Amino acid sequence: MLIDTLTFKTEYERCYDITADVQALVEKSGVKDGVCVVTARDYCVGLGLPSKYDKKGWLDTADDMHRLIADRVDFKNQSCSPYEEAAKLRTAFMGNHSDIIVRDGVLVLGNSQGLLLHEFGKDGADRLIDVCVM
Amino acid sequence: MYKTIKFNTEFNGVVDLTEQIRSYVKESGLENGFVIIHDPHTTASIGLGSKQEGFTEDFMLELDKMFPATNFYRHVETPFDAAGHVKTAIVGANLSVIVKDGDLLIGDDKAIYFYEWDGPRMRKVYVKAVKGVK
Repeated sequence: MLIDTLTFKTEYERCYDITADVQALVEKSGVKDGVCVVTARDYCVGLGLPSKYDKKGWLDTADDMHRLIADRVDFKNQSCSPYEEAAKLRTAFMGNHSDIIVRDGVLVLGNSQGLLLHEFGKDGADRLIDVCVM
Repeated sequence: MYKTIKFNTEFNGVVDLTEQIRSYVKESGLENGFVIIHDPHTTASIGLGSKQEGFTEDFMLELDKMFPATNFYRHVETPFDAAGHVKTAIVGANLSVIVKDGDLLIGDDKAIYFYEWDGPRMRKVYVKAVKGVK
C-alpha cells in the first residue's frame, strides 16, 4: 500500500490532466491489482473523469458551472468572499474524489478518459491531491 | 476479481444495473468490503438513485434543463454529445458501494443506475470487488 500527496500549482479556472502523475504513484506502489483512491484536499478543487482530449469540453463544463452557480453577494455563508463560496459550491457539484480500479499495474480508464483537476478557486494556489493505492 | 458488464442503451436512457452488480458480488464471493463500478465512457454516468417510479425520468429532465443540448458549446460534435460530456463531468463516472455480509449496502429504496447522456450505444462498466482485511 502507498499513501502519498501530489502538489500542483494551479491558476483560477484552469484544468489539469493529472492522470500521468497518479499513474506514476501506482507504479511506485508496486500494486498490480487493487484500487487507487484520489482525493483533492482543498474544497475549491474538483476532480473529474472527462475526455482528456477534449479541452474545449473542459471549458464548456466551467462555463456551465458559472451559469448554474453564479458569483453573488447573498450566499448564506458570509465568512468568505462570494467567489470562494461559489467555488466551493461548484466543487460540491463536481465532486473532489475518485476511486479507480488498478489492473495489471495500470489505472483502468476508458480510452479517452483522464483524471482532471479543476481549479474553481483562487489563482496561484498550491493544491494537494492525496492518493492511496492498495 | 474483475469483470466487464456490457449492455445496450437507448437515447438519453437509464439502465438499472443493481441486480447485475449484486450477481457479480455473489460470484466474487465478497463478504465484506466494497465494490467499485467504473464507467469508462465520457458521455454517460453512474450513480445511486431512488427506486421510486418517476425518479429517473425526473433526474434526466432536470439534467437536461441544467445542461441543455445546444449549439453553443465549444466542443463541436453533436449538441447531445457536448452536453453529455458536461453532465458526465458533474454527475460522475464511478461509484464505490460498500458490501456487508455478501450484499450491497444501499438500502431498500436505492438502485445503481447507468445514465446514458447520448446514445443509443453499446456500453460497458468495469466492476471490481475489494475485500476488507480484518
